[in-house]
Amino acid sequence: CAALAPEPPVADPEQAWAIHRDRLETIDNWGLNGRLAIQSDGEAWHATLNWRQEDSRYAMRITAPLGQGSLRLEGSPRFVQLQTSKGERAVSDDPEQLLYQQLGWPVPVASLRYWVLGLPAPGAAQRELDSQGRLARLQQDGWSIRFMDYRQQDGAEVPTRVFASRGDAEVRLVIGNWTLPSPAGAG
Amino acid sequence: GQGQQNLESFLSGLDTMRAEFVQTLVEADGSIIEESQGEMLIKRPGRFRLEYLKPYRQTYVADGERFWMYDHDLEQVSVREQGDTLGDTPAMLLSGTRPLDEGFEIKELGNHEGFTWLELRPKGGDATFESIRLALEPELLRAMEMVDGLGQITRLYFNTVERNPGIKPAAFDFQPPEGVDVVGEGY
Repeated sequence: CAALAPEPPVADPEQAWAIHRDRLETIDNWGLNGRLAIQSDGEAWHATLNWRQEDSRYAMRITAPLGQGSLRLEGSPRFVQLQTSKGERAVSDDPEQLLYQQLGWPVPVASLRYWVLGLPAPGAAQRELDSQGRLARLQQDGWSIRFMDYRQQDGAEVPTRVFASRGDAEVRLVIGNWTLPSPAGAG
Repeated sequence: GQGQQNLESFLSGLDTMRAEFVQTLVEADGSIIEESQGEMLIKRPGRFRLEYLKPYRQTYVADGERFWMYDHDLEQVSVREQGDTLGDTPAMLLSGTRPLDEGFEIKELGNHEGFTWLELRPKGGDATFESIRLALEPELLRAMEMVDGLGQITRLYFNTVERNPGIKPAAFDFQPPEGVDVVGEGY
């Protein structure tokens, strides 16, 4: 995809942000293919990520490189199930706790669902906008998040690189392609 | 059997190898998750380099001591001792010199799609995949398919293969680039 030519700054970033946010908040069904990198106490992983979100239900498939295994995480706000290619199965009511317990991965799944679109998660947050009135930086739940390389798609501007860090933990997403509902269908 | 003969004639006297590959990630239901392309270099024993070129850049290097994994967009390098984690990656399979039947149960799957197929099942319990299928031509390995415990397949198809080309030893060194996080043992 052609990189967006640097656009002139918008006159009123706050107003532009309100428009961006309203458009993004109408997106309740989406999918992405990309890659996920995790760092936590001296260890690092990266993997291919496929994520489907339908309202508050989600299905994630995380595949290690070089055929070294994969895992599925499927859930809704109160229930989540993890299956790994090593035959491990576990359930919980909290995806973040499940991933941390089973794999040592500190992944804030509930918040990432919003951050990945370029939105703050519900609740308190400090934000910084870029010259186009899109989210550039965010501080939320102890995480600091950077949003980069926005892409125009289906009437929305969504980030393709989202890097989050908290203490020595890092969770980074690079999105290869988005599947978004077309604006008409976004009602 | 025919498969094992083809494999042995391919591996015997194999010092170096260069191959262009297409990698396809296939879900258990047959749907293609991702396709990527790159180049593989192998120097036996124990050295290889896998450069994924499209649609994204990733570099994997086994330098004889350590195994480096670098995702360019995620700006992260992870490094591990080569011994403990690598026994059963596909590239290690080719660059290792241990006789295959030591680590794997080998089964002839016969001829189809114009190749002679072998299936290798790891003997050890902790392998990260369930089986590897090899597609062989008389003196040439054409494809490797890693099947993991969730039925997901990582298929590497070699569209060009050079046996014993000259490869500079430096091709198997890895220097982490400036400004990239390097995480792992001994770092």
